[in-house]
Amino acid sequence: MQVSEKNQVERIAELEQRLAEAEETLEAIRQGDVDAVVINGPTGEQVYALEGPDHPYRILVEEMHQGTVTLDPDGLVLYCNRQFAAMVQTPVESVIGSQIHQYLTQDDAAAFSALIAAAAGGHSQGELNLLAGNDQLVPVLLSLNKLEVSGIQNLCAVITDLTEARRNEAIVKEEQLSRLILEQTAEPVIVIDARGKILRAGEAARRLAGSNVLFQDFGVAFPIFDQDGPVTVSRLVSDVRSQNALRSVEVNMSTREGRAYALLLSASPLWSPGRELLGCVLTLTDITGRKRAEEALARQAEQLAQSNSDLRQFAYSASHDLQEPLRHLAIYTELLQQRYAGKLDPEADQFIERTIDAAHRMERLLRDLLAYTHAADAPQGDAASVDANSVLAKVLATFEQHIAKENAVITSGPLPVLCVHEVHLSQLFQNLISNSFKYHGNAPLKLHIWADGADDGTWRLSVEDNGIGIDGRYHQQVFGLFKRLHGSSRYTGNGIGLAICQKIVQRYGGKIWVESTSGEGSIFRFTLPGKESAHAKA
Amino acid sequence: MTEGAQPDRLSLLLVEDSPADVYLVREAMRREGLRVHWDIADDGEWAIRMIDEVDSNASTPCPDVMLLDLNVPRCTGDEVLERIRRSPRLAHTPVVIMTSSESLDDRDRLMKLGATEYFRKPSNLREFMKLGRLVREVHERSVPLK
Amino acid sequence: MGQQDHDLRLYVAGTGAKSLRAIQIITRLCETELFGRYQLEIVDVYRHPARAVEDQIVAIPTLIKRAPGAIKRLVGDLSQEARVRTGLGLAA
Repeated sequence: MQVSEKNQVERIAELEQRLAEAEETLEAIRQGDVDAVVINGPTGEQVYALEGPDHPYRILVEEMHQGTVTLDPDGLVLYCNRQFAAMVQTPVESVIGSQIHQYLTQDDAAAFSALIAAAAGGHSQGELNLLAGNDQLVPVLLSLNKLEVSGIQNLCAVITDLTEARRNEAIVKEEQLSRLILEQTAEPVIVIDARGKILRAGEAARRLAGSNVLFQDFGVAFPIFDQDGPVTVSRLVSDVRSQNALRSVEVNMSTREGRAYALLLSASPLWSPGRELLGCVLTLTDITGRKRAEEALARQAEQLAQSNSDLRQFAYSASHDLQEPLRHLAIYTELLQQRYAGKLDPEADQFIERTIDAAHRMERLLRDLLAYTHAADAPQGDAASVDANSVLAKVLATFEQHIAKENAVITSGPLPVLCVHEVHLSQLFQNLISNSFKYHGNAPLKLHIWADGADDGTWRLSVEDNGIGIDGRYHQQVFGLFKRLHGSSRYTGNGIGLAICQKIVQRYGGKIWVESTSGEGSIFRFTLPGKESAHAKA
Repeated sequence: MTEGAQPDRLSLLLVEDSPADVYLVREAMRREGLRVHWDIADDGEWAIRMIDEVDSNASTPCPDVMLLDLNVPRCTGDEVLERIRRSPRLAHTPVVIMTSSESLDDRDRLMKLGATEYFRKPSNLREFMKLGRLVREVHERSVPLK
Repeated sequence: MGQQDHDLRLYVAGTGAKSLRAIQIITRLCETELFGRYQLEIVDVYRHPARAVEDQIVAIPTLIKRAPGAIKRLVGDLSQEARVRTGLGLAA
C-alpha cells in the first residue's frame, strides 16, 4: 500500500504539474503572451502567428539576398536570417543568442560601436569586415536601423556582402585600364576567342571594319586574304598555335562596301595556365597608304624608265637617220665646189663653202648628240671601286703630246678610291682637262687636281687651271647642252663636254659646278661616291 | 672560169638603193679610170634573183666584183652575202661591203661571213672617191684565182 | 557538461517580439548567473516546425528546462525576469 501510495503521490504531483503547465499555456494564450501557437495540421506541424499576417515578409526576410540580424542594444543576436549565417559560415542556431562581436575583429568592433552610436538618429551605414567561422574576412556594408517594437528597442541590421562588388571593382578597374588602352591605341586591336568571336575591339578596329564588330565573327567583320586565299579563323588559329605568334604578315582586305586595304597582321596567342588556347590578340596595321605610295613610285619609276628609253631611241634614230642625208649634203656640195668654183659669181664660192661647213658641223653635232645620249650608260655590272689616281694617270698619258707642246705643268694631290665605273671617271677627267687645254690663256697651262672628303663618304674632286676663266653670269650656262660662250672662230668644239660631265656626275647622285672669275682661271668641282658612301649605286 | 661579158670592161654588180650613192659610186669608178659594165639591184630580193639567174644559167655572165650596201630594202645585206657565198659560180667573187655604220661588231661579223672588203661611206668627197682604187685592187687580187 | 549544468531549450518564432525578448532575457541570465555551466539551444519553430512536437510545444515562446532536476516548462511572458529565475531554479 505504501508503494502504490508513493506512486500515486508522485503521480498526482506530476499531474498537478502538467495541469499547472497546461493552465499556464492556456492562460498565456488567453493573455496574449505568446507570439504563435503550434498546431498539428494536415501537412504536419504548422505555426500560426498571432500577430498579424507577416508571412510574406517573413519569407522575404528569410530568402533575401542580404543578411539581416536583429540585435539588442548590447549586440546580442536575437534573430538572424539564413543569409547572414552563411556569410559568417556559422549555423543559424549557433548565431542566434550569440554576441555579434563574435563576428567582428577588434578594429571592426570599434567601427560597429560607432555605427550603433550613429544609429541613435534612426539609421546609420558603414563598411566593415565580418569575421567568418573559417577565419576569413568578409567585406560588408552594414545598414543599421533602430527598431522599436512593443516598447522594446532593438536594432535591425541589413548586411550586404561586398566581396563580389569588391572583386568586380577590381575587375572593372582593370577592365577600364585595358579598355582605355584598347581605345586609345591608334592601331586596330582585336581580341578574339579560340573560335574567332570578337571579344574586344578598339576604336581604330571599329573604324577599319566600318561597324561595331563586338561579338561578331572575325572572318565576317574583317574579310582578309593573302596570296593563298582567304585568311579564315581556323587558318589563323592554327598558324598562331604552330608558330606561337604571327609578326607583320601582309594581307589584303576587301570590305562589303568595296573598300580595299593593305594591312599588316600580327597575332599573339592567349594561353590558359593549362596550355589551352583561349584566344588571340590581333593587330591590323593599315599600310594601304604606304602601299599605294610604293606602287605609285614604282609606276613612276617605270614610266621614267620607259620615257628614258623612248628618248634614247629617239636620239639614236634622229642622229643615225639624219647622218645619211647629211653625208650626201656634204659630198654633193663638195662636188658643186669642185665643178663650179670660180665659174659662178664671186659670192657663190663663199655660199658653197659655208654650206659645206654647215653640213660638217651638223654632222659633228649629231655625233656629239649621240655621244651625249649614251654618256652615262652603265657598262656591264655594278660600279666597282676605282683608284682615281690610276685613272687620272691613264688620261694624262693621252695628253702627253699636248703637255709637251704647251709646256703645261700638271700636278695632283692624292686621290681617293671611288665607287664609279672607270669609263665614266675617265670621261670626266678627259673632258675637263681637254677644256683646260682649249681655254688656257697666254701663260703656259698650270693644272692642279686634288680631292677632299665629306663625312658621309662622298668625295669632292677639284680641277683647277689658270686659263681664261668664266664670268659668274655664265657659271650655270656652261653645263648646258651645246652651250658655248665663244664663237666657233675662236674656239672649236660643240659645247657638249661639260654637259656630258654633268650627266655622268648626276648619275652617281653627285653635283658639278665651277668657281671662277673671268681672266683668273677656273676650278671645276664635282662630287662622287667613295667606297663606303650611302650614295653608291650601280 | 667565165670572164666578163666585155673583156676590157669590169663587170660590177652594185646592190644599192640610194640614187645619190649610186651616182657617187659610179663617179668613183670613173675617176679611177675603170670602165665598168653595171648591173644594179636596188633591193636585196632583186639582188638574190640576179644571183639565182647567174647560177641557173651558165651562159649568164658573172660579175667580177660585187658592191653590196648593207642597208637595202627587203633582204638584209647579210642574207645577200650568205647567198653569194653559197653560189657555186660566185663563191670566190670579191665582195665589197658598203655601209654608213661605224659599228666594229658589224665589220667582224661580215668578214666572218665572207666579205672581202669593208668600206665605210665617208662624208667627204675625197674619201668616197677612194672606193675606186679599192675596187681596182680587190679585182686585181682576185684575178690569179680565175 | 556537468551534472549540475543547465540544459535549456528555448522555442521561438522568428522575429516575434516576445520571442526576441525571451532570447534577450534568458541569454543574459544564463551568462550572468550560470557562468558557462549551461547549454542553451534556441529553436525557431518557423524553421523547424516539426521539432515543436518533441517537447509538445503549443505556445511560443516556451522555455524548457531539461536539467538539472525535473523537466520544467515555462510559457507566457518570459520578459519577467523574476519569473524566469524561478523557472530556472535560480535564486530570485
